Parts: sequence; C-alpha cells; structure tokens
Amino acid sequence: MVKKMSVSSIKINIGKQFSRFPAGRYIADGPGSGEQFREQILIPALRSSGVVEIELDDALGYGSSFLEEAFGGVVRGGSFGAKDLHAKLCLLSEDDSLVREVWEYIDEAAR
Amino acid sequence: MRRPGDLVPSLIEIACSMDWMKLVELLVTWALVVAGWLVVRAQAMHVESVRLGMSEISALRAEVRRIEAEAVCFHTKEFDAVLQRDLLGSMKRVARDCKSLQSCGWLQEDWSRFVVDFRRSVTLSNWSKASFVLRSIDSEEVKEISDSAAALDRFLADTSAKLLTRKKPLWGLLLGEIRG
Repeated sequence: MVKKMSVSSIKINIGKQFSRFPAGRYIADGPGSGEQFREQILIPALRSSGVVEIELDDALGYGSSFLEEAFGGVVRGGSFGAKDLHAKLCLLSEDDSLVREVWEYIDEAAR
Repeated sequence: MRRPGDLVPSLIEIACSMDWMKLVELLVTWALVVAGWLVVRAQAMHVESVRLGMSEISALRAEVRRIEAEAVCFHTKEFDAVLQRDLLGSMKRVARDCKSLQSCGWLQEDWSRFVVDFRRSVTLSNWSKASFVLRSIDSEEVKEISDSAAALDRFLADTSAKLLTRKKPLWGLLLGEIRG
C-alpha cells in the first residue's frame, strides 16, 4: 500500500493508495475512515521510516473529521508526539488550506 | 517626390539629408506617441483584469453561499451520501479557486484560514453516517456553518473592494507592457 522512496523515506498517496473518497472518523463509520488510515497505513509508515511524505491531492476531497482522526489521532493516541510529526511528516498538496488544517489538528491534539 | 498630403518627412529622408535636429525631434515625437499608446493599452488591460478578477470573486462568493445552503440541508435532513460527496468536491473547488485567484494576483491575503474554518464547520462533526444526528435549523452546528460562510464571504467581498481601488503605478504599467 505504501511506496518506499529510499531507506528512510516513504511516500503515501491517499487518493491512489488508500481511498479516492476518504470519509468518516472511525472504522465503524465504514471503509476509508481516518482511524483506518491511521492504524493501517500512517502509524506503520511512521514507525518504519524516517520521513513520511503524504500526497493529499488525488482524493476527491477530505472531511475534517477524517483529517482530525487520522492525524490528530496519532498524537492523541500517544504513538508519536507533535514534535516527532513535525520532524517526520511531510504533507504535499496544492491546497494550502488542507496542509494548514492537518497541522492544526496535530498541534491541537498535543495541547 | 513628395505628395501634397505627405507633410511629415520620412525618417530615411531626414537621415539622408543629415538634418539631425529634425531627426531627433521626430524620434522624440514618435517615442512619446509609442509610450502614450503603451500606457493607454496597459491601463485598459489593467481595468479589464480588475473586472475579470471581480467577476471571478463574485462567482466564488455565489458558490460559497450555495455550499452553505447545501451544508445546512445536509445537517438538517436525512443523511444523504450523494450530497456529502458533492459537498466535499465543492469544498475542494473553493480552495482550488482561491489558490487560482491568488496566483493571478487578485487575492493577496491569506485565504486558507477562512477555508479551513468553513470546511471544519461543515465536516468536522456529524459527518459520518454511523453517528449522524438530525440537527435543527437553530442548532449550534448550523449557526457555525452560517458564521464561517459569512466570514469567508466578507473576506472575499473585502478582497473585491480592494481590487477596485488598487492602483498600478505608471512605470509599473509601462514596464509590464514592455515585458509583454
């Protein structure tokens, strides 16, 4: 599901490798949820690699609940701190508001 | 042989007759004519660009109002997966349009704060089918959607007003025209 870029870098394209329509907060909400993305893709990638690049543009759109659960949930669950994510996570998108929103959820979860 | 209506001597004629003063006079006259034409043309293009920018912003404001109405409908009626998908696509387009306005120079201030707040108000809570609850029209969630849409609309309206009053200096117009 994830593409290894080099020894310490992994690139994840959410729209192509996870779901074209990522939606919902919890796994119980159905396929393509934030919790599913976090547990099955994001956290394993963060554990196995130094840098994780997330390509956001190929999905049809993102609900804030998905983004909050997927990214804020990493910090809330205690897997990684906000500082770790700032060092390891690289968000790629043409949409500045999307990148801004994800970092807000990460930083809010750390408070 | 010069024709009766041909009052202005040609550049070559003057150059050949070595009448330097007349040559300089003619060159200065033509330089002023060309510069004037460039300024008028650049000014017209600037006005046209402002008009186009305002029309794009106006279309975006209408789109924000449409999304707001659909979002209120989504939260106050039975869960509608098609509408949900449509809303996500529309939100993505709003961000894309803001980015496009920014790259054209029509949107110079940070727009992302307003788009984030708008998306959050619509899609952060009560967005999943499993936990969806019908909201009343006077609920806090619906009020939040209206507030964030109004804030984005105000921001776009202010941008449009600034666009109208924005002046481009003469040298900027000339330079832009010369650079093409």
